[in-house]
Amino acid sequence: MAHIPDGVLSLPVLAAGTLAGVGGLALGIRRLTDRDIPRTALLAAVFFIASSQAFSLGPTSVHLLLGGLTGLVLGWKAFPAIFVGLLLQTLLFGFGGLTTLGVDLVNMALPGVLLAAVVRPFIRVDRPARSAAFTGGAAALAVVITAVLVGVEIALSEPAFAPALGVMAAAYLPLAGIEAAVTAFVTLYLLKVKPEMIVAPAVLGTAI
Amino acid sequence: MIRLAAVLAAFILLVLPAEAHRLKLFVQAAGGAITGYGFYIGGGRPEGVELVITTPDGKEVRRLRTGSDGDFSFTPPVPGRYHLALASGDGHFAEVDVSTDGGPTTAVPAGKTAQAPLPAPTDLDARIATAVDAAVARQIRPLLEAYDAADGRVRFNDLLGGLGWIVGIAGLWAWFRSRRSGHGN
Repeated sequence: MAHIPDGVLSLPVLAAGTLAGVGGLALGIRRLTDRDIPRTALLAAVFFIASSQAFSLGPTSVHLLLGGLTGLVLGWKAFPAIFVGLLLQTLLFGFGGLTTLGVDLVNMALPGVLLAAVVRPFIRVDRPARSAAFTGGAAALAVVITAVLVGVEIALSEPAFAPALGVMAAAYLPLAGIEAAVTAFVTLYLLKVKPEMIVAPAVLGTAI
Repeated sequence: MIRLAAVLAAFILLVLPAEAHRLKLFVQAAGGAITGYGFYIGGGRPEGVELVITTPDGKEVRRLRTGSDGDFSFTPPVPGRYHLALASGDGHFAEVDVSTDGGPTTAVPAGKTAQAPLPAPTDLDARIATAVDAAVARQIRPLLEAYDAADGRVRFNDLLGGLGWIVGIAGLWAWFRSRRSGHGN
C-alpha cells in the first residue's frame, strides 16, 4: 500500500525523500545504544511480518503499517528498524523498490515517530485506558498522514497517476481503524507487562 | 521478553493464511486482442481503475477503466508491442509489456511482431493456424494465471528467512559495538 515501486516517482521527489530518509536513519542509529539493539530488532521483525501480510478488505487489500507502534516503542530508532524491514521486503518479495527505499522509509516511519513524541508524555501506567486511547489515535493519524504523503508524492511526480481521493480514503480509513485497535491493544498489554517499553522514563519514575 | 516473543509468534501464526499484497496485471494476447485483469496478490480485484495503454516509445494509445472484476479487453489498431500500466488510485501500480503475436512477454524481437491480425478466411492454412492459436491460448490461460498468482507471493520460508536476517543484523551490530567499546571480552 505504501510501498511505492520503482519508476513512479520523479527525481526531485526521490532525492528529497532519500535525503530525509538518510537523515532519519542517521538520527536513529546515533541513538541506538547497546541496550536498544534487541528491542529495535524485535520491532523490525514485527514490522517486517505485519506489513508483509495483506488481507482482503472490501474491494482492495491492506496490510498493517504499524508506524505508530514502532515510533512509540523506538522513537527515532524506528528509522533503522523500518529500514531493515523495507530492505528485506524489497529484496525478498519485490515490494517497493531499491530507489524508493528512502521515500518509503520516510512515509512509514516519520509520521509515527513525530506523533509518538507528541503523545508519549500522556502515557501513564496508572491510566491505561486513556493511554491506549492516545496511542490508538496517534496510530490512526499516522496511517492517514502516510496515505497523504504517498498521495502527494505520486501527484507531484506523475499527475496522470494522481490517486483518486475517494479510493484513497476508502482504502486507508478502515486500515487506520484496525491499526488504532491493534496499537491500543498492544499499549494495554505492554503497560501491564513491560511498561518501560513505551512509557517515557520521567513519567514512569513518578507513576510507580 | 519471552511473553512478548510468544505474542509475536501467535501473531505470525494468526496471519499466516493471508498472503502478500501487491497489484499485478494478468494479460493475454489472442486473436489480435489484449484481454486480462488486474488483481491483488492478497486477494481482491481493482474495480473501475484506469488502465493506460501506450506504445513502447511512450505514445498513449488508449485509456480505459477496468470492469467490476478488474477485467478489461482491448483490440489495438495495429498489431505490435504495447505497454499496459494500471494505477489503482491508492498508490499501487502494475505494468506489463505485451505483444499481440504471442503471450505476455517483454523480450520479443522487434522484427517478429509484424503478423497480420486476422488472416483472410480464404486461406485454409491461416484459418487452421488461427483456430489452433485460439485453442492453445484458451488452454494455457489457467496455467499462465496460476503462474502470475504464484509469482511474488509471500512464502513462509521467505518470511522466516527475513526474520533470520533481522536476528543476524542485530547480532552483527551488537558484536561490532562490543568490539568498538572494548567490553566484548
